[in-house]
Amino acid sequence: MEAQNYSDHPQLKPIQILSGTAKEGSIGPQIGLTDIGESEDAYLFRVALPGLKKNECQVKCNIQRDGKVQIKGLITTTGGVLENSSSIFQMRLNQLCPPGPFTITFYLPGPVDPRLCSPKFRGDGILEVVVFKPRTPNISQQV
Amino acid sequence: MSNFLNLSDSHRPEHTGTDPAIESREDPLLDFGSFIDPDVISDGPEAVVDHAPDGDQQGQETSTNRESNIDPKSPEPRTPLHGAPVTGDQDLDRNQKTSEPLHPPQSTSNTAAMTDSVNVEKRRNPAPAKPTATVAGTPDSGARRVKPGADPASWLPQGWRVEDRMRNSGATAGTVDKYYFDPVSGFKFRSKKEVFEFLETGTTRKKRKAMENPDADMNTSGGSGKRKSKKSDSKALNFDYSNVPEKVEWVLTDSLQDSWSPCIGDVKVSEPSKRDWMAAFTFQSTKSGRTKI
Repeated sequence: MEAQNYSDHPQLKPIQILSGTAKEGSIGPQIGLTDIGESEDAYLFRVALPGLKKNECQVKCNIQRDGKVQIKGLITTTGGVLENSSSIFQMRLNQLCPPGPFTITFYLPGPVDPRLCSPKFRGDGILEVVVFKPRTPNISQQV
Repeated sequence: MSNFLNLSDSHRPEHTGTDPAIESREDPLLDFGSFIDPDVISDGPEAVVDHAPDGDQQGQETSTNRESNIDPKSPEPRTPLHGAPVTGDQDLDRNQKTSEPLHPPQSTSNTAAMTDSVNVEKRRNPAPAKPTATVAGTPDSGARRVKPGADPASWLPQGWRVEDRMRNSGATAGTVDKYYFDPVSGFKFRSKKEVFEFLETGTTRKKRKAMENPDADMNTSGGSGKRKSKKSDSKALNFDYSNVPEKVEWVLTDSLQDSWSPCIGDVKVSEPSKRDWMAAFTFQSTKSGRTKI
């Protein structure tokens, strides 16, 4: 999944011309590109999960108290075969993530309360999650 | 708002622990001390009774039973997230689950009461009567007594607990108050009317006040009243902030509606707890206002 591997792979060399923002971005793993944001009391992360069919992707999002996030899922998009077509395509360029299960793991900048979490898997293939930081003890003791 | 609060605080310094939403209602009878009348049903006087600040009585009462750890101010734990308040029918269901009906005939009337508690109340008590005496504001101590003949068993849903507590200090020492406890939520109510309001709306009076009056919560920040109302708000969530689980797994269960189910270990988190979590999440989100990226 290193950017290096992708650009060194012979299959990935030609045929594509990038422009605009696509050109400025580095070639890297198509899946698992991550944004992480922080507010006063919460973290936000977005993970790019292209190629996941919404109803069969089996997405799970493990969130640990220490801020470790593990996203699991299944990519079902298959290379040279189309659903409604009998023809088989020989893949010449294969940058998209191959089908199969995947796991993406990363750490948020600090501890979180994994219960206070609202995952959203948006229609555009971005998983967007807000998870709150744990509350400080002096606030939580409100008895 | 805060000016007003300060005024009323200095007026009655002993009432500092009150919800601002309540306190903002000046109550002509407060200075005479408050009292509880479980049998009051007409609209005038018992409103006065019920609005008596908690702090006033907390200081004075002793519990004849073991003081439960139920917080008297804890409002509704059921989530406001899902919009419609819990209906009375659900309450009845749960009550019946927890205990066999002690008073089968009452059970039906309770159902009716939940759909239209006010009417039922009036029907059952065709003579509202007495409280008018207290409305007049006579600070006669006799008028503050709990009416002895009131039998909560005749109208209280099954499973509810009644506690008699005597006030042991203050001008009203010796007065016995009846408290009613919902077995499901643990909420404490101080009058029959409060109980019926809860059964009907699924929310507590304080909670509704807070919703009617969101400005009271938001705009008094910094004032001493703010902290109190914040507290009661977060308690309403029924969310234990201190016991954070090690790990929660969120599984996309219905991808079309983008609904996620939390699991701890391999066990799916129950629907009510999930709702509590979501309520807490919503509360946190609205409180912090925005998430910066």
